[in-house]
Amino acid sequence: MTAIDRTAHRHILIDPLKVEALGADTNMVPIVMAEFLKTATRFPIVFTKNAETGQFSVIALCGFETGENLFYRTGKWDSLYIPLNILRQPFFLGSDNTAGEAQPVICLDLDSPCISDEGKPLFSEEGEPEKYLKDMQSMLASLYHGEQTTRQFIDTVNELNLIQKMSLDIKFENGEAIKVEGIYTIDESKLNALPLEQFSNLRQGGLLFPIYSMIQSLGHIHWMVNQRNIRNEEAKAWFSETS
Amino acid sequence: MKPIRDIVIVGGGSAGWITAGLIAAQYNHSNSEELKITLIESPTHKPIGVGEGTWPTLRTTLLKIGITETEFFRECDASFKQGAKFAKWVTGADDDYYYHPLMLPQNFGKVDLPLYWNNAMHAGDLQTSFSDAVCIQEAICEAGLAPKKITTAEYGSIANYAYHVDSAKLGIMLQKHCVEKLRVNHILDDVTDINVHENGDIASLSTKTGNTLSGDLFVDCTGFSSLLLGKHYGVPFIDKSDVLFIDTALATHVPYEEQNAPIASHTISTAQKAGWIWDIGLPTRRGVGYVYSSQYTTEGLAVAEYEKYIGESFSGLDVRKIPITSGHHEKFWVNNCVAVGLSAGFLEPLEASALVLVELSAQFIAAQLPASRAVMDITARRFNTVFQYRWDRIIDFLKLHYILTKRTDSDFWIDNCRSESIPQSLQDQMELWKYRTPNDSDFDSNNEVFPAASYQYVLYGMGFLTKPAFNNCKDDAETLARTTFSKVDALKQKILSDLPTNRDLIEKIQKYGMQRV
Repeated sequence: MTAIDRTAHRHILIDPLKVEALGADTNMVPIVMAEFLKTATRFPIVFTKNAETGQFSVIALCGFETGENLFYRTGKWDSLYIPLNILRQPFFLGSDNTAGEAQPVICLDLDSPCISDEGKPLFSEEGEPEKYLKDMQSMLASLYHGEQTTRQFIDTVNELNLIQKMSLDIKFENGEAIKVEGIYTIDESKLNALPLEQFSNLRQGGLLFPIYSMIQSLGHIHWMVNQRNIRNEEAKAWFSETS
Repeated sequence: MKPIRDIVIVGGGSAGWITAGLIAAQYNHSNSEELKITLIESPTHKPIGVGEGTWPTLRTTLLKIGITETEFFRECDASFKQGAKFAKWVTGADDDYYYHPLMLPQNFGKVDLPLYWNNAMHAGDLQTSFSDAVCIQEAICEAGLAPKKITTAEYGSIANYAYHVDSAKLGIMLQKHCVEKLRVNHILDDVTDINVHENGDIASLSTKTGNTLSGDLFVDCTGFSSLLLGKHYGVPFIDKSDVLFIDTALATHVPYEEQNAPIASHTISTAQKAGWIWDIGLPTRRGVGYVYSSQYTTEGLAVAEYEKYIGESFSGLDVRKIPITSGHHEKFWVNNCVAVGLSAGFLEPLEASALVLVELSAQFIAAQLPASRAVMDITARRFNTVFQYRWDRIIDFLKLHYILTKRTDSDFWIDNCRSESIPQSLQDQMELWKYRTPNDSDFDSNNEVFPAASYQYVLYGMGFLTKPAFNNCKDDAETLARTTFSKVDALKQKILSDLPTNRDLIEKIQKYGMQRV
C-alpha cells in the first residue's frame, strides 16, 4: 500500500476509461446504501456471501457468472451510473497506525493499469489537489461512511429473518441453461408479515427505501437475460459463414 | 377422563433435555398454556458426558427445538461427523479399514453397485474399496475436510453430516433454551419417594426438600439407575451380552498435541484384542475410549492396549472405568411412565445409537402424546412394539460388524462368529444376502433404524461376497454401474478442492457464525 503523496505522485495521470474497464469482467460490485437510489435504476441489487466469512454483503449484479459483465459493452459501461467501487480505483482506503490510533489514509495502487501517459492529473503544478483527486476523496469518504450504515442495514434485515435465497434457473434462447447460485434477496412475504412494531422500526430507521429498492431492482434481471440473448446472437453472427 | 396436562421428566442429562425440548417445542406455543412440562434433576448428580457421536437426525431435532447451528457449535464443543471408519475389524492389519459414511451410494436403488464393484475389482478395473467407489464421503474424511463451507446455510450440507458433541454441554445448552424459551419448569431436587395411584400409576414424586410433584405422565431419564422403570416398576432387564460381549468401558479425554491439529470429521473405531477403541474428535480435545469384554481379557492387558493406542500422553490422563451391560428393559412404557435414554437400555456406542434412540423416543412421545389416561395404554403398547423392533434391529446391525471378521487372534473374535451368538433374524438375512444384495425390501417397516445402504457398507466393506442367483439385470445396468463409478470419481475431484478443512470451518463458525439461509 502506498499512501498518496503530493511530491512522489505529483505527475501521475489517471485514465478514466481504463478505470471503467477494470469492471469489464466483474459480475458483482459491492455497493453502499447511499448508492441504492441510482444503482436500482439500472442494476439488480442483491445480497451475496463473503466466501471467507459467510457474512452478507450488498452488491450490484452485473452478470450471471464469474467474469461476465452484461453492463459493459464495446469498451464502456452501458449505464449512466457506475458503482463507486469501480470509479474509485486505483485508490483505496488504508489505515495509518503511526500516530497510535488508526487513521484512514488514501492509498494508490501503483501497479494499476489506469495509471497512464494521458488522463487526469492528481495534482496541479503547484502541488495542490486537482478536482479529480478531490472527487476520489469524497467517493472514498462515501464508501467509508456508507460501509457502516450498510452493515447495520444488512444486520437488521438478517436478524428479522428477511433474507431469502434466490434460485435463478435461466434458460437462454440458444438452449443453454444455467443455475445462478449464491445470491439472496428480501423475502417480501416475511416483510409483509412483520409485526407492526418491527415494521415501524424499519420505517423509522429509514430502511424501507433500501428494502423496496432491492425488491424493485430485481426486474433488471429480465434485461440481463435479454442482453445475454442478444450477445449470444451476435456471437453466432461473428462465427457464421457464407453459404 | 382427565386429559394429560402435566408431564414430569426425571433426570436432566442430554436425554432429559432433548425430551423436554422436543415435547415443549411442539406444544408450548406462546399462546398455549395447555401443557405443563417439568424437569426435575438431582443437584448433586453429574451426567456421564463423554464425547459422543450422533446421527444426522440431530440437525432436525435441534432445528425443531429452536437452536441455531451457530449456537450449537459455540456452546457444545461440537464438530462435524461424516460417518465412521472401522479400522482393523477384518484382518487386524494396519491397512485394514472400511467406511460407513452418511451418504447413500450414488444411484442407490437404480443399479446394484455391489455386484459390479465386485466384478470390476476382480477384473482389475477398479482398485478402490466399496465405500470409496460408490460414495464421495470417504475421500472427504480421509482428506480431513468439512462437509460444507462457511457460505452454506445453517443445517444445510454439501455432504451429509452428523456431529460429535460434548453431551454434557449439549444438556446445559438445551436446559437454558428449554427454561428460557420453551417454558419448561426446572427443579433441582432429589426424588426420595414415588407415590402411586390404586391402578399402579405414578401419582407424584416426593422430594428431598419436602415437596410433592404430581403429574399425568412421567418420563424416566435417570440414566443407568433407571429409577422409575427399572427400580420402581421392576421391569426386567433383557441382557444381550450373549450377542454383544462388551461389558467394560475405559474412557478419557486426550488433548491435541498442537493447538491447530486436524480434527477428524468421522468417528474412528479401531478393533482391539477384546473389543474396540472409539476416537471422537472435538475442537478442544479427543474423546477416546476402549470398550472390551472382561471375559476375554484382563484389565491389565486392556489398559496396555489402550495406552498403546493413545501413546505418550497416556500417563498423565484421567481414565474412568465404567461397567456396562448390553441390553434393554423388557418394556419401555408401563402405566403412565416411559423410559428414554440409558434408563431404557444400553448398547456399545459402535454406531452412535444412544442419542438417536433418545430423539426417536421423544419424537414418538411428542407426536403421539395420549389425550388422556384412558387411551394411554394403547400408546404404550405401540411404543413398546416399535421400540422393541428398533432395539432388535440395532442389535442385529451392531452384531453384523463382528461376524464377518477374519481375526483369530483372540477368542473374542472367534466366539463372535459362532452362530449361537448371532440372532436368528440376522442369520436369516445373511443367508439371503449370499444370493442378493441388501435392498429396501429387506427393511420395509416404518420403524427401521439402519437402512439397506448401511448394511451394504458393512457387508462389502468387510469383504462379504454376494453371488446372485438370477442374472436378471437389464442390459444397460453394467453401463450405468460404470458411469456411476466415474461419476463418483469426478464428484470427488471437484469437491475435494472446494471444501475447507474440518478445523478451519469450525473455527470460522465460532468466529463469524453461519447464516440461516
